[in-house]
Amino acid sequence: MIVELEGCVSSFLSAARPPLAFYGPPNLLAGRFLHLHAGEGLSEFGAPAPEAVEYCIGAGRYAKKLDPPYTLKELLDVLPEGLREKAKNSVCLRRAFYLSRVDPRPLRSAKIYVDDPLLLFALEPYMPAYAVGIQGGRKKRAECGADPPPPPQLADAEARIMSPEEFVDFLYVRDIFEPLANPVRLLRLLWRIARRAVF
Amino acid sequence: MADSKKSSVLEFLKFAMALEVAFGVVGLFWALALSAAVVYFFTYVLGPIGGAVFAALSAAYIAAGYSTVFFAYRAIKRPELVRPSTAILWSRAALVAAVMSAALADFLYGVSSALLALALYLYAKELARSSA
Repeated sequence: MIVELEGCVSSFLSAARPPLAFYGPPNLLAGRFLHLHAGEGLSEFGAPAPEAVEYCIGAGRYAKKLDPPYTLKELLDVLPEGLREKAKNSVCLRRAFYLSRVDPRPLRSAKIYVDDPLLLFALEPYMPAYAVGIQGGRKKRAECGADPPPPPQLADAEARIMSPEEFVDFLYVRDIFEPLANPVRLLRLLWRIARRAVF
Repeated sequence: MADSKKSSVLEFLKFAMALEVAFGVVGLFWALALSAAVVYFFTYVLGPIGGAVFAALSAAYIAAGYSTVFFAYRAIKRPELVRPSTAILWSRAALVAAVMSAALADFLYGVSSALLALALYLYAKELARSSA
């Protein structure tokens, strides 16, 4: 869930622990941040978050029905007639598919600044994401500390985008033991399997 | 070239699913009979709590095993319904079934589940490659 920041943002960000992703004006940053870019590319396979689909074509609630990974064709199948044409021609959606395959593993120990909202949506499942100017699920108001926050330092970095096959491997081994440790997740998984029993 | 590779992976998947259905039905009937006997024995030796714990464990194993078999049974007829996300989910379920069957010394069902897990994994990769 993306948290919308208000108030003394730079003071909050200098105290927050990595990894985290931030979207907003760069003058609100404090401390060392990686400025993450992604190369050019469009794709039809990945796992765009419902927020990303909502941002591109306003169909987030239909994307919630699909489990990652999915293809553009599967998304088209669950969309109603009016949105299908829009989705078929959307470059933003293909970009979201491409960026959703971002590799979060090298970013686990960094604070990240992105200026592309689609990249923020792609990183959000792996780390806390904060934003100024994107509607989040909840709002957080930060108070200013006594000390002035350190000035921003941005280092440029290129995001690694996984190939479709690598992404399948990544999803296959990700959180394989996690559901066992979390009973609520295990029950949800069992419910999903039971529901899938009728496809 | 890509199509022939896809169809060979699909044939492998169908073969693994057929094995899973065949050995799964036999293996799970055997597991059902065995667990009924062991539950009876545990209830006799350890009292009702021991029997109930073992009954719950074996019920979870048999339910998971049968749902994998049932998935394979349905997917043989309509393999186009197997999507990347379902392939990954059921491949992991089949892997768990394979490990548990090996632990219970039910090797035929264990090997067929492991084959199914491998075939579904390869099929998910193939779907990813062809739709990228």
